Amino acid sequence: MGQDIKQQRIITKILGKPVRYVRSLFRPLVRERRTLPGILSWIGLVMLLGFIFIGIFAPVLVPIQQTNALAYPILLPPNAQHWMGTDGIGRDVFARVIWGARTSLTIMAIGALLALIVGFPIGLFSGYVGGWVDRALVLVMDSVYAFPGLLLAALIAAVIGKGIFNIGIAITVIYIPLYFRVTRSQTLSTREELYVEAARALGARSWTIMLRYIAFNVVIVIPVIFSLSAADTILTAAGLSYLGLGLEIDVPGDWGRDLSDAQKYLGSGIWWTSLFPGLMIILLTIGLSFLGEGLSDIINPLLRKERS
Amino acid sequence: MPKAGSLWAYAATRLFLSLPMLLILLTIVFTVLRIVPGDPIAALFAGRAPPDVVAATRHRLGLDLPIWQQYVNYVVQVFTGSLGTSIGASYHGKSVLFIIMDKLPATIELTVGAMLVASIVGLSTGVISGTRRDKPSDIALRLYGTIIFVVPIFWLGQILQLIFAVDLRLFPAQLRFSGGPPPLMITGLYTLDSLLEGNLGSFLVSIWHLVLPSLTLGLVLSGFFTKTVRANLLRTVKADYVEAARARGIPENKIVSRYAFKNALIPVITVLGLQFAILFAGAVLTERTFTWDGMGTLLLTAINEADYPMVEGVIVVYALIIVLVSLVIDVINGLIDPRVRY
Amino acid sequence: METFLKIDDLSVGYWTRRGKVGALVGIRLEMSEGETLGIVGETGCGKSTLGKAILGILPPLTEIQGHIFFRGRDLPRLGLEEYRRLRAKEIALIFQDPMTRLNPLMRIENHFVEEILAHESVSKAEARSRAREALLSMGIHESRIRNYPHEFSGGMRQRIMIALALVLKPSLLIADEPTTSLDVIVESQILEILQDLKRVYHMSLQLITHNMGIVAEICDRVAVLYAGKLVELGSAHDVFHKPLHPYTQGLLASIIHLDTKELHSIEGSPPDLISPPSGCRFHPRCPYAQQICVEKEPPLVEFQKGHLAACHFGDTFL
Repeated sequence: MGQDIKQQRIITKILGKPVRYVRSLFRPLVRERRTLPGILSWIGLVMLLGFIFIGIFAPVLVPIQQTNALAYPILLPPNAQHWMGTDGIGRDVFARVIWGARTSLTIMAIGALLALIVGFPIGLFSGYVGGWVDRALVLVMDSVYAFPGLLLAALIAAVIGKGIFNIGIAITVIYIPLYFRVTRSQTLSTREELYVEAARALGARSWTIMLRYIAFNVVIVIPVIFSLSAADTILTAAGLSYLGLGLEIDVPGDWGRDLSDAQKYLGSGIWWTSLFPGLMIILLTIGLSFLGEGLSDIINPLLRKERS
Repeated sequence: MPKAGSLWAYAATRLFLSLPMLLILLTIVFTVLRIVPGDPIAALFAGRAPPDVVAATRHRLGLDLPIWQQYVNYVVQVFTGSLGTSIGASYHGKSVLFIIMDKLPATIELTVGAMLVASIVGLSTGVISGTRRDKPSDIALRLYGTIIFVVPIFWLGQILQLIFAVDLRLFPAQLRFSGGPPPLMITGLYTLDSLLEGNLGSFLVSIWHLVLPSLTLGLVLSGFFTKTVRANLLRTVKADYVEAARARGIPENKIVSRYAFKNALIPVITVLGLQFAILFAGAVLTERTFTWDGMGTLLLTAINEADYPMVEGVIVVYALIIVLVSLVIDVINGLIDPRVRY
Repeated sequence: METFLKIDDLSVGYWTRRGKVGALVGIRLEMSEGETLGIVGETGCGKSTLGKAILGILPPLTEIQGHIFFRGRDLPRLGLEEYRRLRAKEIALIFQDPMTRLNPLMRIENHFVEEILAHESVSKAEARSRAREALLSMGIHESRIRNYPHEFSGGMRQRIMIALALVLKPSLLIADEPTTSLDVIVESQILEILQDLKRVYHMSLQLITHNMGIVAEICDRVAVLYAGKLVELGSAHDVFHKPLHPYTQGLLASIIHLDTKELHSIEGSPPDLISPPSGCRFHPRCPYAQQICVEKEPPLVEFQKGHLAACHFGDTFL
């Protein structure tokens, strides 16, 4: 068999037919729609899509001017004009909250993508080479995983500075060990598969085979890892902002900073600047963890079945 | 009895095995602080200091040495217990280790309180959920476990403050102590020190201040307990030894406690090690919400003041604690489960 | 005198996603005191269910119909606490797989102490000394009493399980495939122990097994189960010499003797208990099956004194 035919196949399998990939992801979702994991996934998915919609159309939904300092009188309680009131420097809380979705989702996407770019090859390499290299890498990743993610992210953020992209980099420390683990375990089990062994016995390049099957298996689990840890990254990014290590002050929406600002008015019983940004975080994280838990309940047994 | 001896041997082995983990964490911290593009000192000063000051600081901290020499110095420093002196405004010229030892008790008090809340709430909800599978109480508690786990800690803290401190005025929203001087520093744990002093009044004040922060951090953490205890109970109530115990006429409550629950606890304790990471991260946020003067507050101050040795020291101490905790978890596992000692 | 154990029209069923599984259907069976009864059949024929049904430890939501009279009490209608007190004290059960039946976190001694204290009000010290005795009688040295389960081999664990089952001196012992997971030498040790029980203590023993050889060795009577139904019941002598049901004949033919030249086995596999075959449940595998076997369910008929079988053609095998 020609090398490039196989490569062609890999490409078709992963990139050439995104429709088929999406369909293969959704088929179990549709089939399991009446079971508890299925229902949870659908609720989560709808919530996430809602947030993505809000994030994309934030400029249409609320003019950015409403998020400017001193756009309105300060600390107005919720009323007909300002549904969620205004904050300590006269910004509309509702507008901030809507724009915050855009910020949070951007950071999450950057973090997830960067972690995939880093974690996937390392996991593949580690599982494939095995031996002491693998053991060492596992130890390193486990150590990172055991260390408080927020602290490590704070350290990185403090060194590389504020900004959406930088926070995206900082929160990859939460994702990378996860992507590493999953890719590695998929690699290990695929390596022992009969078809890989058979192909190897026939003289095929095992790297190519590995890549083809592992990549496919890993691609299947990406949505699971993504949504399982996505809630964590949203919380960590918000936490960094809350601690004053996150974003520049001119970012139009930043839930963590909003909560940090709300802190000093709590004593006077001003609840609206705290309640609403927090609720937004919770809604998004709940959606993500419903999706993550549901998907992993659906997809994990599928993977197990496929193997046996 | 050979059991005690083998437990010690087991603990010693674990200690030895945890050294690489410590070294890896130290290396990661070192890498982040020194090999990341850009100079840490320049980054921390952020252009606020003249070049000669930056250069002088760099020299004083040994940052002008070759990387490998810096690394060796750093590791030697950590293992000899000297973490250098502070260069920040707040603690200028003071021993980093000394300042950390001063702040650490506050964090320990908070995390222990939170762990207490988390285990009481989490274990009881987990047991209720796991023994009443698919009943309404189970579904409600599962939902609780999932939701509380993804609630931002600082937000929960603010809401609890609004309700219990601002509105109901039941508990204080800030600080570790009020209404007089805190107890004399013996261990640094106000609750323990006031008891050692024999001052019941200040003990109650310390507890009173501890309630809301512990509740905040503990509740968020309890969700994890609820979920894992439930999942493992569902597994162990179906175990063969449970059926055999039932066949021997062991009362049902003992079957749940001695067979199902105890066996379900082992994997929970193993995963608990990872929860400490969340606990410490959560403590940093909780400290900020409740103006709790501990390690988290110290770290933020140090970052803001570009107090480089202090930042490094605090992170190193966190790494030490994490390694220590995973060691303790292993030993507890060895105590409960006789199989892992061999 | 009241009957020792009388099972009357016992049916056990449980629900799965696909439908109701009739694990046992209309079982009628009696046992007298001191008797050893063998229950034989293939995997999945319901023989383990029978043992658990007698002890009342079937999983929740299992449907039980009919009666199990034990010394005048109808067991399925006992109160929970009364039932609990009966287990191990009057009826004990030992399981197939000793490796997983002991609590891995509990010392052997505590298994005994806990069990004794659950049934009798004696002191802890008294319970401990009885634990030691019970273990010694099973050939396990008392120095090992404070060990944990994982420190014992499979054969030793099964002896511990037997000691646990006997420490309260029950009058009926149900042994569910007690030797299946053990190797041959250990198996013969365990069987010897069971025979001693019978000889010395005159204990009633219900031995659930798929091994006809073991049945021949120690049982007084044999009950053959097929697909949840009792198909043959009689003295070991009668059943072995004059099996009346083709299924029993098949089981006996499949025993390997020293002079076995050809391996025999019963064609086909056990039926699906959710939708069992019509008429006689054995007909799809029976070499003698006729039209009537498909249409009509054969009743359990006493063909000889004390020898019953559920076959339309039982008399032709007499």
